[in-house]
Amino acid sequence: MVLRLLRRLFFIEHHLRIEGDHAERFINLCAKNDIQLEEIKRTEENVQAVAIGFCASKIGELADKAGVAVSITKKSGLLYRFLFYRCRIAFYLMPLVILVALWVLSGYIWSIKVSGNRSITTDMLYDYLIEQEWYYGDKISNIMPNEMEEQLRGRFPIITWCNVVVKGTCLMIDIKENELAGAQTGEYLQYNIDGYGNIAALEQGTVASIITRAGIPQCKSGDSVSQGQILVSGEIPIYNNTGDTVIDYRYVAADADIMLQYEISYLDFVSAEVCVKEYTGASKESSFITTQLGEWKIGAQDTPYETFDHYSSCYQLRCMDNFYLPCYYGKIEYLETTFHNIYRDDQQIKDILMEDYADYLEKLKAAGIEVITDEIQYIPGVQGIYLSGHLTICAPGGVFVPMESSVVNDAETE
Amino acid sequence: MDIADIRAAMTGDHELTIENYKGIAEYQGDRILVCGKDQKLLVTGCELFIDYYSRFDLHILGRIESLQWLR
Repeated sequence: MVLRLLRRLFFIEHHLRIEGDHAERFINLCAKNDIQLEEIKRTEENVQAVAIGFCASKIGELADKAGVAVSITKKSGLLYRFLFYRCRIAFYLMPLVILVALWVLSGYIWSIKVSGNRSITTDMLYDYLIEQEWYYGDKISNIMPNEMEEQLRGRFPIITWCNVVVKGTCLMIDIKENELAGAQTGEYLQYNIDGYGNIAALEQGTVASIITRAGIPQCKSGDSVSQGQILVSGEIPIYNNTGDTVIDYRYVAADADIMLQYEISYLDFVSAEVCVKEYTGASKESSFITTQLGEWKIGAQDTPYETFDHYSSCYQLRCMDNFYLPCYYGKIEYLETTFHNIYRDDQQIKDILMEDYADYLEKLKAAGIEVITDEIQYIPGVQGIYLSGHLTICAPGGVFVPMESSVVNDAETE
Repeated sequence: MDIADIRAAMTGDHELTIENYKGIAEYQGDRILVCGKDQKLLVTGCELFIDYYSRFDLHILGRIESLQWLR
């Protein structure tokens, strides 16, 4: 059965209509001349059959001999299609061109995937790859995974493990970061990764409470401090036995919960006149294909309406899981919009201002900031109303300031 | 079995394969007469349909009711 299907697929099929009284004789003659007939079916008017192979000229001859009228109603089969399009070179060249294009494209990187990064952003990694001239469209033969791994680890010391692999046309970079180092220092490039450092005041204000876990506190509750002042020192002096001479310093990562009370200002403005955007409901869609050679659009033009919003989605074409091609396709949806001005009265403006202020307070609360007092008032403006004032808040007020490596190293050397 | 005899193999009542024949003498929707060297085989039934036909074998599909050997 499979052989029959393959034969019918690759050879020419002639669908015959046999008319006359001696259809059986024609069928026998075909068999004797090695013309295989299939699906021979008797209808009321004629006999229908399918002849396989190069037999068009022979069929006529045999029909004459048998005294029947045979007409070929349809020709099909892959071979027939090839013969039918024999004058069209492009038809034959197209598969070849596609194969060659795929072969050429398979030698380049068309997609870069980064995974496992947390504090190092993907953009930072991409920028570094471009710096190193490892970029989208680069030859796969230029990619040295081991070298890349080493250089990435050297450039970003926070990376503890790195795996670079090329799959298909996709460069996959999988990294693992030292999460502890990132959490303690915040920065990992300029400062030592051991986490030695002080805690400094974030704002000017009064210390509401201080609970020190590591380091030496430099202030107490009720003290006024200025911005940047060290509140907890990570440098611990070690005294001699008599306790009057410092013989050495020990460095730690200062750690404390410090609440500072300070004043912040608040300002909000709502205009009486506002421009409102509305969707008319009309929309148009267009598709696009982007390659290295350019972009082609199908459907709506760039500016289908006078004013509009547009939403686009873009996908990269790929043959298999990791065989990406330098070709993107997507859709753009244009939604027509109109604008018109509306005017608010004072009460409406005040309601909006109050709503914004309530949201602001909610956000402060969510961030662990307590509002102690607030003095805000409405101030009428030319085009709207301001809500302005000051708030006294109690908020976490310490920021970790890492010590530079040189300071620590010098002290340790001495 | 004589070497000149028609060979026929049936699968149920819907499929019949015939070998060692000379040709078909008659083909209607309800009867097919196949000729051998010294004998003829008459196949009768409903909606008889020749699936394929070559010099060596003949494959008939349809609802076959009877096979009759004629001399």
